[in-house]
Amino acid sequence: MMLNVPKSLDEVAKALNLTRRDPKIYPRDYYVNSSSDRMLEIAAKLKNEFGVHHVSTVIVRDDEDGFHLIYPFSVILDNSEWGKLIVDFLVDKKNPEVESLTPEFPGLVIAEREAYDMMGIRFKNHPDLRRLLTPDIMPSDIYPLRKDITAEEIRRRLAEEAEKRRLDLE
Amino acid sequence: MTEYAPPIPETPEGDYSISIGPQHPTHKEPIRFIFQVKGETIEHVDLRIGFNHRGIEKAFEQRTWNQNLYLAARLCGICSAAHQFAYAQAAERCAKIYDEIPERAQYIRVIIQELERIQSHMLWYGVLAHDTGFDTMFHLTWRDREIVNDILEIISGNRVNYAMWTIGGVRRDISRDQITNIIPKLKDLRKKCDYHRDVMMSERSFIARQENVAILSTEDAKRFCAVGPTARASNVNCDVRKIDPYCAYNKIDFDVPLWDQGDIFGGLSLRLDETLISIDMAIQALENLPGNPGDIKIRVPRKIDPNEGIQRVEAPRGEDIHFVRSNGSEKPDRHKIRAPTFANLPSLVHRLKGCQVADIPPVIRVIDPCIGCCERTTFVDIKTGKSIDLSGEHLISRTNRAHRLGTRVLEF
Amino acid sequence: MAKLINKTKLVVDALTNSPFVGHLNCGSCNGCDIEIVAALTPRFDIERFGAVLQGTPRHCDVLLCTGPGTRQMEPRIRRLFEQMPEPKFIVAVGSCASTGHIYQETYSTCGKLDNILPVTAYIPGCPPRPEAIIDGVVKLITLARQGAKATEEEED
Ligand code: SF4
Repeated sequence: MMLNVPKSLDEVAKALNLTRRDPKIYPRDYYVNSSSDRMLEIAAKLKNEFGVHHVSTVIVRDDEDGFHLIYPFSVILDNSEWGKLIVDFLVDKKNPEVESLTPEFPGLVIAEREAYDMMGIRFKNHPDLRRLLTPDIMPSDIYPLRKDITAEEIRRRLAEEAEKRRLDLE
Repeated sequence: MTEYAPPIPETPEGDYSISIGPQHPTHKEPIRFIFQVKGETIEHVDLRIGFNHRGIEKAFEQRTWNQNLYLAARLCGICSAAHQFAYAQAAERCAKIYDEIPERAQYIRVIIQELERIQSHMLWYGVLAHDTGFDTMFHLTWRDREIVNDILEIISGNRVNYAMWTIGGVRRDISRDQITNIIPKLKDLRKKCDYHRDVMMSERSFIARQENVAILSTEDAKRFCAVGPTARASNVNCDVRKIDPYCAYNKIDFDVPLWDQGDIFGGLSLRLDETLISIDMAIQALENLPGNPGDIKIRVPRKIDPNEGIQRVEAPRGEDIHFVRSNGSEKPDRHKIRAPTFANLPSLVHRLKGCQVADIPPVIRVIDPCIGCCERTTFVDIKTGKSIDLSGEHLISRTNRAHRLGTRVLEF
Repeated sequence: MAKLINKTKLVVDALTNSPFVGHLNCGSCNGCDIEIVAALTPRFDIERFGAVLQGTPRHCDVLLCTGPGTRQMEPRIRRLFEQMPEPKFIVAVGSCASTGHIYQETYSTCGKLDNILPVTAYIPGCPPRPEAIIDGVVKLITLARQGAKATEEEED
């Protein structure tokens, strides 16, 4: 299949039916808003039609209206520069569950694990959703980067937990 | 220790599980690898990271924009400038002053970045030589690496954490005297790096240890979103300096070397080339330093209006991406860091499968995590539950033995 | 020092003439670690003083620890300490290990190395220069010898 090499990120956004959110200051940063149920379709289209192979990471941001998930896709333009199509969508705080993009982009496997670990976003169809960075003794209800818990609180809980483990061993 | 360790999965009869780590000093990613091996071939790899997890991302939310600069530098001691740089630029984008940075500051940014790349690459190939049992080379490169550290010390006053950036420019200028002092040093260094290249490229046993080991095909490099020299050794042109130019990189003339073998040797040749190119770039930028002395930064408001900024830079190990979000106060609302080693882990796990046990240190080394990772390797014999301690040297002697015997399967 | 008190002069000399140093990363940023390696390489060359780097703590007299000590590493650090043969000395290299530095208030560190291990010497700096690391190790050895000598004279 012939890959489509876009001239600008506008062209990509138009093909995906997305509109630019930010004022046009930095040409290679293209923020768009979307919704969680469209992500699989967007990812598949970007991969198959525009030849996108690089997704840098998964950024999760805890805001009042819910969790914002941000995927920066690198789109190769026709002057061989890579633009960033930054897709931002909202996830419900009570039930943070989204489709995983790992089947499309295997490189995201640990980025999504990190998002799960730090913010508690559950990815459906993820091959291996375990905690990644936090200590083994981290209580399962704490997701450290959420705004509803402070660093001191986590610190205290972890110290308690570590003490308990040590007593158990003795 | 076992109580805290993740369970080692069940292995079929006759197989071993090998656990390597957690003593592995990269910044955010010290790793514990759990290998399942059949004979000497690795069948399955699992990894546990987070031994160095210090919760920096949360700490960013508790400090002001300027204090965070020093936190960003301490993410990693080897690419501290890259992290600080990415953070400063993301904040500049967030404050919408990115285009107003003085040209002189942009050139100084390039110089520091390239000097850092030189020291990091020299460190890397020195340690690779050490890992493959070529200790003379290790000491040679580390002796010559001190030249770069001296230059960085002349410019910034410190050998490792340079603290050169600030939001809106750089903190220290480079004077005429310093330039005349530095350029001969860099030329001298270039000769030495040429010599390193000659030695490494002509040492047959050193090359034999690396050729066709742990090949990463172009396809896999793309599939696993590999970045930096790891991907470029597999012929993926992903140099952020070219594909997403920032600061003064589009005004400087340079090539991006690409290799297509994708093995360890490809990674080595690529980094040797890049070191030379970086030296040339640093000289070029120093000679053409524009602007008036002292014109190196602009004033930045203490509070930044609600906005988002994202910036990637080419750290020595690849694309380093920082995201910041401001909420109108003095402190950032969210700061997300994606370090290059993190992005290279999926491809590392992939390429480790099918390797020999003795090749583990150089293969882990190829994505450029940091020093001393495989100093402490523990082999656990599942059947007897006995564990043998193997250091890097033992692993090296094992391969040598394997090569001598003409077979790659050895009995434990 | 106390651990050397009951040893004879010969043993003390043997133990301090060529200290075997090990290196343990307790969650550092790597800045200190590369300076430790730099201290071993030709320009600084810690081997002039007989110090040899060892791969595993089981062979070490002196353990150079960097970093504030993360929660995940904590049990492992304790365990590695137990594996070292007596007499053993812990040196906290860098501000992180000495005081906690910028990681004092982050959630997954133990604050500073003192909270985990008994530290004998502190080398401040972020990162300390290789000269400082060498100086720290040499000072530690001199102190150990003096301590041992003083107790010996008292006994005489
Ligand atoms: S003292 Fe500084 S260089 Fe050393 S580990 Fe801490 S932050 Fe890194």
